[in-house]
Amino acid sequence: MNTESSILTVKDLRIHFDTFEGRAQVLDGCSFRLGKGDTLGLVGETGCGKSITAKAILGLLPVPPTRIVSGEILFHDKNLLSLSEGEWRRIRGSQIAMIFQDPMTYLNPVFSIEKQMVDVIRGHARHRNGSMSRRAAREKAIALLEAAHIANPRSRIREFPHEFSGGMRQRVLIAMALAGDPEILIADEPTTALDVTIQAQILRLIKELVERFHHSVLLISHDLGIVASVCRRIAVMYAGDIVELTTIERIFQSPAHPYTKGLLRAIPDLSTREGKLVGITGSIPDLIDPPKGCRFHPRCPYVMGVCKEVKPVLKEVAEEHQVACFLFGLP
Amino acid sequence: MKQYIVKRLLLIILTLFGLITVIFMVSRVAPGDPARLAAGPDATEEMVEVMRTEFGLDKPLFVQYISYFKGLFRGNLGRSIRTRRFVLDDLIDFFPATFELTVFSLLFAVVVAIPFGVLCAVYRDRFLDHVARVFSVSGMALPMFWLALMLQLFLALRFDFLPLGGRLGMLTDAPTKITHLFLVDSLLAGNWHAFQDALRHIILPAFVLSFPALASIIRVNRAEMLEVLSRDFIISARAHGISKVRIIGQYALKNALIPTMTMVGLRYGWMLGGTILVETVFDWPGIGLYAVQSAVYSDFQPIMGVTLLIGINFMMANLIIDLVYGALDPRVRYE
Amino acid sequence: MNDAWTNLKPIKTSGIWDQWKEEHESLFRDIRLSLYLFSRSPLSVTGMILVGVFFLIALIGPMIVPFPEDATGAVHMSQKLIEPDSRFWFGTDEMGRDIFTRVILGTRISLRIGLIIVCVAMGIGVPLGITAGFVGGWINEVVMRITDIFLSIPGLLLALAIIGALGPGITNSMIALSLVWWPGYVRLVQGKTLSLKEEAFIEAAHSVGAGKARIIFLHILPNCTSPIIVKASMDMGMAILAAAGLGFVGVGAQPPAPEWGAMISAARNYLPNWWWYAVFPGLAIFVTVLGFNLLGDGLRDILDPQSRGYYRE
Repeated sequence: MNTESSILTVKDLRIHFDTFEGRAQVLDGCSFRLGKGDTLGLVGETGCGKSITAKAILGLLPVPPTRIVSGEILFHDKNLLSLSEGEWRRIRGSQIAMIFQDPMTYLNPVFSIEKQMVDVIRGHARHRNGSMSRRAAREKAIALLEAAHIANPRSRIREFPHEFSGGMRQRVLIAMALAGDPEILIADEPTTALDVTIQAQILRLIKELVERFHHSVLLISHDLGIVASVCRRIAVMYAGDIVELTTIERIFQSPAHPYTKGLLRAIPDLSTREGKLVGITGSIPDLIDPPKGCRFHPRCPYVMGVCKEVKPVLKEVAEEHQVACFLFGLP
Repeated sequence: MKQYIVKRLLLIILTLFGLITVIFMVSRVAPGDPARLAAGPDATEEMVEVMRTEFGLDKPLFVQYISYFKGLFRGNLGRSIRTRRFVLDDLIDFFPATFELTVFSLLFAVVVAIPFGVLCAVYRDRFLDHVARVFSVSGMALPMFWLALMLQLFLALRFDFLPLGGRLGMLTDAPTKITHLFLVDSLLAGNWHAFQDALRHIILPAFVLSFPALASIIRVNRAEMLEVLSRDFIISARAHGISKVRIIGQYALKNALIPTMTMVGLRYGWMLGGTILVETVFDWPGIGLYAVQSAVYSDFQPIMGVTLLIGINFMMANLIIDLVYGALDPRVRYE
Repeated sequence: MNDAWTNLKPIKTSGIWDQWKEEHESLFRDIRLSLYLFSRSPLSVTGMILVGVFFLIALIGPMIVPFPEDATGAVHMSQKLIEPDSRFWFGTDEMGRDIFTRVILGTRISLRIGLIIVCVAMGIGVPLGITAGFVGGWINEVVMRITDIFLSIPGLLLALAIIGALGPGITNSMIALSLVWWPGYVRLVQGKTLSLKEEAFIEAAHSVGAGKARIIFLHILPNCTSPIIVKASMDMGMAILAAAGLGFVGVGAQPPAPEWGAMISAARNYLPNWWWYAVFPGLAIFVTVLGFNLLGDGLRDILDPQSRGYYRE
């Protein structure tokens, strides 16, 4: 992946979060690239910093208590971290759009779907130095709902969020995200709050839309399987760092980082009939006082002396395969 | 929905029945003799007895109770011992003044307090917010009648800024009576002078009456706005590029108004009660003043009439507020 | 049967006092935490100080006033309507009585009024509310309907109507205001009882054979005390305010009693030249009610933080 074709570059992002007990170092030098039409999945446990990364890209983090300590987020060579509020509004939704986790709480309960979508669509039109009439915006909204496979969109658009089922609401959110014809679609755990059967439908929808409209996608999830079904590339995150960055095939064929290996081993197989569930010993580190050196070292079965002192950075070990681990070369 | 309204109206009527009964029962405990009170301190025994029969006070309480209801159905609310007129006529005369005052005060409170509450939430912990916090805490502790007197003292007596009382100046004629609300009537008749005069007269009493409401509504609205602004769908709206003004003024406010409306309804009740105090200070010829004068006199029938009237007023206002909920929050369904 | 169990006795600690302390350890911790949180809020502490001063003045007032004979009845026409000076800190009224003395003595009257109203309202409302909530059924329906009737018109007006039926006077105004305030307690307690009834620990108590009375007194009542205390402290202020209002319009305390509202009513005739007459009693009302409001707010923040509800005042 060369720099010329990447439209989003996250460079060495460091973010701290003030809590009652102290300052949590939630992101500690996170870097990755997203190209045009590229699909990247960000995988990790709860609290590893994936959601914060997504929100940082759209500038949605509340600035105290969050502090962006250092790093850059380049979107077409513009650093998003230095944008003014007015410039942000031109980008949010129309160039980078986000799909959220829980469709019930992320939709305004007192306004109809029509109102919410029309507001969004007309807002985007205004930023593109045009304007759109309410009627035209309504037609576009109906078309978007149709693309998201909502039946009877013309009559359902007048309804309110509580009149839709969970899966339907997520389709509405997806339709809203598409409203601005964005280049990048960020999906933050889009299926976590849904039933398993609905999950599959929504994932299918996302795949179909990506194929149809060629968005670049950043999919965030704690579920490897979900990421595997939609994305071509994957980044594994642990305690605020990306520890492995590669394609889906390689992650299953030849996982490199010990954490990744542990994750894959922990997935129960339909063929295993007996035996204990395999987990990774230990627990995620305290981000206020993280371990020195590699943050995974207290739980790593292959830990070496250097791991406790120096922090490994992502290094290319094969084509389109980067790992942050001293097993693949000492510093 | 229509069924719901009908049900509520029936409930109002039933409650009024109950209210009348309660007050009748309370009056049973009373040791005084209203006929004697009405006749005055120099009355002879004969005059007291005449009073008694004229007002049906010689019959047992239960009979009075029944005959009161019979009268109600015929539109007869009894007679005032003090003014010697039919209570109904007195009420018709005095109610518009109170209605104008309370509605004006309520509108004033809502129009000022809700935006203020929003601003305090948006500019949290800045100077404006602190001022508003102090104001809301003290606003509910300040005695309305004392505030009224202080304002009269400074604005009317010391500095002749605003009039001392009444609805109109002595030299102004009342505008042609269509609604009996001077502000509305004078506008309808194009009588600019009367409008100005009526406005000057209503400002002080309305301000005093709305004072505690201002304090509470600002407080509630601010708290609700802060809570709503922390909710997920606000993040979602920002992520879609919706402007801050729209987010605060529409997306957040509509949600915050729902609990605020409860407070508005409650404060309207206190406003209705407060007319007793405010109308007394400003000589405002409304039913609050009428009720006070009747109570001092132990004049029973007018008090019942006022109770009924204010009861209907208050319960209708609550019904309207409940319907407003339905308009604001689509999750509320009235079958 | 394991003999070890029957012979098991608790290890004796040193003395009864220490045993009691240990049993109530968590209660002490709660109290300490509450006091700490309370002291963090300057407004709450201010409220507490104001209320404390109010009670103090009410108690020792008659002993420290400069002109005790001015309480009622005394007439000194030679010194009527004097501006506040070193002798008469708040000035004198139209009968030559020292207003400072009368305001101080009015504190005692207001305290009496407030306490009686709140206590009577609690005394009627709390038992009714618990009964209605606990027993349920038609008793609950009847009680709640009656409560609704009382709450169907604004409080001040209901009080006025009741006074209209009973006649003016300080006792009657206390009766009237008590009748206005009790429904609020019924609603509060009934709601709390209803929700407590569903809790698991009530069912548990029931299943080990606890009688209804025991459940009510040991389990339900203690859990209601927090919201009741909060409401009571806010109601004290509001009751005093309402009583003063009734005194002002002439149906409450009657002259020459030094009740604040009645004093302001008399003072009306002497504005604007003899302004001090109206200003000081009003300030007294304001400061007192403010104190109770702040105290109530502070108590709510530590005792009952979830109830940001707005109960009938």
